[in-house]
Formats: sequence, structure tokens, C-alpha cells
Amino acid sequence: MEQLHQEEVLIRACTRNNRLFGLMKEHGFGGKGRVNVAAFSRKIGIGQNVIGDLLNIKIIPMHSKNSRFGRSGEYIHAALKIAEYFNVEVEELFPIDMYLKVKCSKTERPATLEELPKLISLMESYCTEPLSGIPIPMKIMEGSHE
Amino acid sequence: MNKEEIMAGSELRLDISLHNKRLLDLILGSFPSVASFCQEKAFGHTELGLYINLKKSPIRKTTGKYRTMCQRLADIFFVDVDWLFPLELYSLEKTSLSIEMRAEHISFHKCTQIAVEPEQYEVYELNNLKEKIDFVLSTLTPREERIVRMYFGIGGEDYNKSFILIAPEFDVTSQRVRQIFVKAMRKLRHPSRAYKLKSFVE
Repeated sequence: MEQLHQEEVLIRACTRNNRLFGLMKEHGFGGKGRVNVAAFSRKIGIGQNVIGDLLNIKIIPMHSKNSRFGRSGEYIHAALKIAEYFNVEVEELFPIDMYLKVKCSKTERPATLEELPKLISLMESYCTEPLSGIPIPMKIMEGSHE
Repeated sequence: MNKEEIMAGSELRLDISLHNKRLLDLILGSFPSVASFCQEKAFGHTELGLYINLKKSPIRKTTGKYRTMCQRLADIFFVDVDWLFPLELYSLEKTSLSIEMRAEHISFHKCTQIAVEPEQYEVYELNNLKEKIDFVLSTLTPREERIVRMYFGIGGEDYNKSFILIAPEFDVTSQRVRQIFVKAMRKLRHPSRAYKLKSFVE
């Protein structure tokens, strides 16, 4: 069995809506590095699962073609209510392009201890200047080829 | 940071975290979730989470020996505790980090395939799928498993056989083979088994 599990580490990456995350933190729903969806849900009266799905980019915040709850292309009720609570434009808080681009919000990759320091230092270096032009995941991929 | 700054900033946030893969694999290989494992084996969910997420050292500072819980975990899975909890892993300074990025930087299909070489990812997915199919089929009765494998030609069974060709091998009629096959498929569709394979379909 030990031969089957050569890699020691599992690197897990989750994408989140940074604006919603930041606003929730700013309004006191969360602490360092995390947000309290339960408290936010109780405050605005929307289900935790919908907020979680919007935060973690798991659903597109618009009604689909065959939706029974609204016309196609309109933002869903939860998205409108969240934007209204924070007093921001719903299009800015939930940019539809971003939701359409993110096909998979969570991914995993096994790694060995030997390659881990290199990967971590690469990721950390992008934290300091994350918007320097080239897509960050691409850079990390380049690094892993080295 | 005020509201205007937040709204003008990056749209996306990439949260990266490290986990003990061996421990996670062993748990999820035999139980549907970490929660059910904790329930069955009477472990504290929070404490186990700390070990999985590399937040707590498995070594007791005072004695320099492995903690009782870690030893118990290794015993449950019949593995060496040093192998299950590599000390280098638990001595890492940082086990999670966040990167802010712009939506326009999502330039390829699955934006979050970070640090993954595409071919490597596919191989990993395929190996993972094979392991999971084997595991799910092993939960059926031996006869059901063999019939499903023969019908679909999975692992070892060289070609897809019809019920008529399978029937003589079990000394039953083709109709009986069909009944066994249908029952096996019904079992496989049950959420307790289907959850393992669902991610590969989506």
C-alpha cells in the first residue's frame, strides 16, 4: 500500500469571489483569512448554501433559460439581495464573465516533499506581486517544469 | 480596506492549502467522508482536521513521541506511524496562502489547475478513476462484480460480452444474468457508491 501513496502532500486550490469575500470581512463577518457565512446568512436571510456557492464560484448568479424563478439573463434573487445589502452594483460584485470563465472552482494536485519547497516559494513570490501580467497559475506551471 | 478599494481590486481569490495526502487517501478509501470515519471510529472531527490540514504536530513536545491519536490512526490502517505522518510535512512554516488575481488572468479552460502539468493531471485523474471503479465494484457480491466487469469489459475482461455469452459461465440463463446485472447497477446508482464516481462524470 505504501508504494501506492508515494506523494505525501495534497495541494488544494479553491477560487473565491474576492470582492464578496472582502466586503463580508469588512462588515465584520469573519476574521483572519476566513469569513463567517453562517452569520452573514442569518443577517440577510438567505440560505448558507447559496451564499457559499456564490462565494466559491460554484453557480452562475443568473437565471438560466428554463428557470421558473426569473427571466433568462437576470441576476438571481440572492445575488441582488447581497449587492443591495452591501450597497454596490450587482454587476460589479458578481462579474458574470468571471463566473462563466471559472469552470472548476476547486482542484487538487498531489506533490512530494521534495518538490514542495520550490512550489511554495513560487506561490509566495506571486503573493507579493500578483498582478504582474502573466496569469499566476501559468507561472506556477512553468515553475513546476523546471 | 474600504468598500471602494475592495470593489476596485481583484475579482478572484485563489486559496491554496496543503493537506496530508496519505492520511486523507486512507480515510476516503474506506469511508464516504472524514465525518463518517470520525463517527465510526470515535475520533474528534476537529482534531483530525488539524492533522489532515497540517495544523498540529503529531509529536508530543514533552516526550518527543507520537501522540496517541496518531498512533491509533496508524494502527487502524495497518501502516507505520512515521510513514503516515512525515515529520518534514508537519514542520512547514506555512500550510496555506491566498493569491488575489484578476478575472482576465483566467486564460485556460480550468483556471484553477494550478501547478499542474496538463498531461500529469490527466494521468492522475485516470489512475484515480481506475482505483475508484475497482473500489466501488469490490463492494458488490463477487458474482455481480464479475458480471458487471464482463458486460462492460472492465479491467482484465478483454471484451464486452452479451448476457447470452455470460450465462454459461455462471450456469444460469441469460435472463437470470440480466436480473443480476440490473440489481448490480441499481446498487451502483445508490448515493453511497455513486458519490465516488460522480465527480468524473461532471
